[in-house]
Amino acid sequence: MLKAEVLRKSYGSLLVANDVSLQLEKGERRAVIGPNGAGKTTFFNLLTGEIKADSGRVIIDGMDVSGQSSDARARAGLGRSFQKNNLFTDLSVIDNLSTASAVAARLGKVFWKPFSAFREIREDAENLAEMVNLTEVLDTPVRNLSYGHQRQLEVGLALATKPKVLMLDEPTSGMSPEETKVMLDLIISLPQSLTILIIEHDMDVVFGVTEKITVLDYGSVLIEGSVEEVRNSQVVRKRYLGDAKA
Amino acid sequence: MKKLFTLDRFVALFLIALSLLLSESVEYYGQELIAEITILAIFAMSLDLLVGYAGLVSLGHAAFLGIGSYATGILTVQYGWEMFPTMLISIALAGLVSALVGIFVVRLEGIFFIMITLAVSQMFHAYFLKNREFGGDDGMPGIQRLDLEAFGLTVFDPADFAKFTLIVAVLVYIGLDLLMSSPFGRYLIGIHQNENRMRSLGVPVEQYKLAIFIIAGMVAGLSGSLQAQHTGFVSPDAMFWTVSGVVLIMVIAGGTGSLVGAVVGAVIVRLLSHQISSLTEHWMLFMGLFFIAIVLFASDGIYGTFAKYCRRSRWWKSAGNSSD
Repeated sequence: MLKAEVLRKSYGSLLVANDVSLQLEKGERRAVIGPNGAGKTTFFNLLTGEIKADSGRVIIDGMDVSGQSSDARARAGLGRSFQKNNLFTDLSVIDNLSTASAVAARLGKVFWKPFSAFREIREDAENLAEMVNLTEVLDTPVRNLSYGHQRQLEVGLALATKPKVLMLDEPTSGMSPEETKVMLDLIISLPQSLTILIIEHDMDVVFGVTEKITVLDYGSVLIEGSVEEVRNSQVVRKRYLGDAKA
Repeated sequence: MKKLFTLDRFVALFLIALSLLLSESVEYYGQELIAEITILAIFAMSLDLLVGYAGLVSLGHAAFLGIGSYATGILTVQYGWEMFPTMLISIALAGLVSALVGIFVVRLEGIFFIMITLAVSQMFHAYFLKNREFGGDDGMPGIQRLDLEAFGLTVFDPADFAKFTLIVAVLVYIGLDLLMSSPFGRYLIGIHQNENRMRSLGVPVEQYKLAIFIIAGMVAGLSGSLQAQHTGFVSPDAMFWTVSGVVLIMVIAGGTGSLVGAVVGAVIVRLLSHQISSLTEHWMLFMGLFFIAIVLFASDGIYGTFAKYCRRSRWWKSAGNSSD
């Protein structure tokens, strides 16, 4: 479903992605972990096209999108959430979601019909709100939402475009344990057919959501394997989990 | 859900009724002023499309007004065209030029966008200033008005011409209001709010910015054509950057992001400067104080602040409107 082939990116002499490759099957849920500065978000940005790779290829559902812009890649099926909330802050929750639903329905060239006449978009948005547990705050402007709700909306916007691959960049970052639990349940409840790539620091979330883990360090893949393999790997223990935690 | 009777539309209706009433009762000079303000209001609405809806702060929007004016002048005076096709061509030409400019400028952001639009408009100004064929710095006199005998309007009568500009303004308002409540308008609001997010949702942001830049240019071209017909004259001054600056101030003073706000800004700023300048020669000082007051006490603009209080008030809510 998603394939990254030897992606490389450097800023001067600083190599931030050193021939990173990754392959996700349809319906697979994969976590990308690694210490801070390992290049996880950079890797995400290389996949979505927000940063142009120096070399390497990105293939979405059999389609080579390497040379394409980030909006074209989104249309090809990449949906992402951001590590730092990246929402339409002056709009309400429902307006955030309905804007994203309108984009998913490719309505942008419709200029002769009122947006409010598109009932199916409104319904889509309401369904999404239910999916990410925001039904009670539909009409609240985003800037007045709690942080946890904002994070949920962040995922909601990524889901709105009905992506083939959902990419979540630390969906639980900065959350309280209770909020994390809500987010974890939310991710688990997503349809099994949806391919998910998730960057996460919270190991409970990682182990709860995914079967397979890719460990990044200094911009390259340290190890890739099942949860068990990674948990038992000596390299990872040393580099990342720390001996005490193992 | 949006109501049919939004506050915006209510105020728009009020303004139209008031102007129609005034165009009958006031004297010659007042009628001229109504036409002038109405044309300015159309121009201000076109700029608000960029500033308030797409977040593109242009300091060169007068270039497209000027192109509309010059096209109208050149085609009718030098080539003897009829006014109606000339107006259509003027609008199309302003759209074409804004497309050519837009392709390069919509990629830029913030201060770079401001500076490049300023520079481009000054290039147009310089061209028409130096070009003897189109009158150079003397400008071009002798522009006629659209013949509206068929509709029972004598356009040389200032009251009738004021009515004509009002009708055009209403049509522009309705058209743009529909446009901005459409999904296309929603995309623009999304882009204004968070361009990067729209891109990562799959929107080719630059295409939409270009589209609105062209539409804004066309409406500005229309207001330019009307202005040329109103004054019977066009000069390079029409596209000087201060004209862009003044209309930008109008849009901001009125309140960005709503078409009515732009209209209110145009009306109030023009009326105030007219009134104060008849009282004292230091009128610019008082205009400056007025703008400072707006920035300090009504940062959403005059209409924006008014709308905020209205929506909070009981009266508006009891009329069955949500507080959106």
